[in-house]
Amino acid sequence: MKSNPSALEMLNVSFGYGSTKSTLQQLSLSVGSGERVAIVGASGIGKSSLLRVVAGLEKISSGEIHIHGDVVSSAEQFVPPEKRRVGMVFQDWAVFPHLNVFENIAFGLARRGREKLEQQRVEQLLEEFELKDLANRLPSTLSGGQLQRVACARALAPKPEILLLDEAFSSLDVSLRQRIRQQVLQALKLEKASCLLVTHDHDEAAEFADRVLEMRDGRLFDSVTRTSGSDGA
Amino acid sequence: MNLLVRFFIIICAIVFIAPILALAGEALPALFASQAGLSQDLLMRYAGNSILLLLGSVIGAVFFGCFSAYLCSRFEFAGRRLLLLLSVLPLAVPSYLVAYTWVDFLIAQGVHGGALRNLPVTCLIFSLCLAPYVFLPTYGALTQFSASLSESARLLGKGPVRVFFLIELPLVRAAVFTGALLAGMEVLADFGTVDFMAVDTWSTGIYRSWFGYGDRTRAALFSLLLFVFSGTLLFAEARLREKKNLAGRGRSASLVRRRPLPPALWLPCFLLASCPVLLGCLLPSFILLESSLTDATPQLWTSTLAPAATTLMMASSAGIMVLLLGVVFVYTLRLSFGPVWNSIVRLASLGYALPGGVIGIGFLILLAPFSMTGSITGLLLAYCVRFATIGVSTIEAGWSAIPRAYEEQARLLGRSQGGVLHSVSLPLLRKSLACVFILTCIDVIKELPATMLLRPFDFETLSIRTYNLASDERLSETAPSSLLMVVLSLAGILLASRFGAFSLTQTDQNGSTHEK
Repeated sequence: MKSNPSALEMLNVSFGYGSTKSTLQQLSLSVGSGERVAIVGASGIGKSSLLRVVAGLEKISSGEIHIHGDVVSSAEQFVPPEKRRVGMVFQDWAVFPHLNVFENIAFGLARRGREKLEQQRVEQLLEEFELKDLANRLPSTLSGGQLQRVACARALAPKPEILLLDEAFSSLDVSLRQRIRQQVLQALKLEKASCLLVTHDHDEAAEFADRVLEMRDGRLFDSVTRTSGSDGA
Repeated sequence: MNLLVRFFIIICAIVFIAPILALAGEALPALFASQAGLSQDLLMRYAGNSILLLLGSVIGAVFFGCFSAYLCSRFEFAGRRLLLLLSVLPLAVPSYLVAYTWVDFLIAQGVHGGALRNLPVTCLIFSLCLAPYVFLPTYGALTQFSASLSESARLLGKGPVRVFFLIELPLVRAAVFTGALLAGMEVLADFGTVDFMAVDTWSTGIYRSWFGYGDRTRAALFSLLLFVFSGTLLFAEARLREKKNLAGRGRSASLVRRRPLPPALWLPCFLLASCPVLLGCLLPSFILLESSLTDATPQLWTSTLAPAATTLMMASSAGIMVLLLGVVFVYTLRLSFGPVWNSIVRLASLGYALPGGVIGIGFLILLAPFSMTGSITGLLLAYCVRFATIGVSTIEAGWSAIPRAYEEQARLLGRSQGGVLHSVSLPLLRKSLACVFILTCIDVIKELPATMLLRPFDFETLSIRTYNLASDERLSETAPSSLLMVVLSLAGILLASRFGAFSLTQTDQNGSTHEK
């Protein structure tokens, strides 16, 4: 283990679907503690695949992935997604349709004997994401913006060390997108979590992240570097 | 034209609802006057057996159907495509043929008949034969399931087993229940299997009351009980169908990708998943074929030809009638005459809730004053009542996929309403229409209780001939007629699959296109 490890370290990672050409080729990336990194690039270039290998939803073909110094993916080792302490907001939000807002946010918290703490945590997030009045509503009765906030609150509830956002704001209108982005930024600062955002929108990337990288041919290149530091935005 | 359609709908509704009214008119006064002549014990035995049979068969069908659906939708393994293609085949073989074949075969192997003809074995036979009813909707729901739902749950700390129970199962529950309820309605409607396996149910009660004791009040009472029970199941199924799209994909969601099945699990999993196909269709068909080729005499084959011709005539006539009914009913819904007309159409197409025996007794009571019992017309009417649902649901599904803009465009280009139907809607619906015709034919070929009750004297279809021979314990002689039924139904099922009746191929293609 390193003495002061990065939150996420990807070393020469390659990955491809089946027999197709590698989507990620010898890709390396380091994300510091509390840092927000955005990855931009054209559709179908492999941005979402990058998040999926970090989350453990796909196995890499070579290289290593470390989270806070621990190897989570390599040729010999694979830590399943539920043990990585990584949160993810999917492009389609994936809010469980059979659970209400409260139950969705509490889903990753369920621990026997800790119901009170769990309740407090959910209430805190309901407050942070302005969802208090919707706690008992089913997802089918919510708008896109509300679903988006539920998905973000749910991903942050178990206090993940890294939050992965896969085009999470892309389908919202401009003003709503900005508001939810601010809420997520606020929450990330509070939780001191690192974040990896994938988007095709360069402006959004620049506004949200401390560092913007561009993906081309399965590799990452520096795109824009912001000066505001990790407190950013 | 609209007036003509409305008039036709009213006539249909009267014809379709009249058997139930006739049953109620016969049974209810006697019931309230306590003159039904039924002992408490008899009622309890019939009700108890019916409910136990229903539960046992449905649990078995859910087990086989869900296991195969989960295996085929979540894992990649050798033989998966074959298993998918064959999974609908048990629908081609009526459960009573499976019962006749296995009992005859096992008795010939030295198994005692008493050990075979009982409630648990009957449940097993129904489980195998009705598993596709659960498999089809469950597989559909599982393949349309958004992968990110399961993946979110994994990232929130839940292992694969907990994800299955917390996320996947609750979301496909409605599809499983829908299949289970349809299977349950088939169990309640069955007569041939329970009669042969010596299990007393409401169905056998109806038949024995009518033919054995000549007691039409008791037959009407059993029919009414069966109708109420089936109607409740149908109502529950309709309510569940409203919630069915719970597992539907969100925006731009990806589908679950199949992972390789561990080699050590391949054989047990494949064998278990193929039980319904092997034991409920392929092996019985093989036994029938072998028995037809070796044991059946030329005379036996010759005597099967007339029933085969009658079966084909009845099946194709009913197929055409149900097709026409379906077009008119759905056309009425499409024209939006108003909620009252829509309700009349829906009511008139609920025949699937009416087991064949119930329709049979209803028509017998209804037609008795007109001396029309035992007529081909009465029998065809009964088939139409029973199978109108196939026409309405299949054509409605097909029609809803046609954009209204096509029809509106044709109207703007000068076609009348009838002209649009003829030149635009019906040509676009040809696959759905073919499916309605084929599926109705298959159901008529397999239908037994209504045919037995309503057939004219000396009128034999393949199902009646097979039943009569089996009732006389001449099981070995049933092979030619049984085999012909299986061949005709199998050909129909395969043809209907080609026309997309079961849409397994489409969902399968979706399931394999996950890559980003």
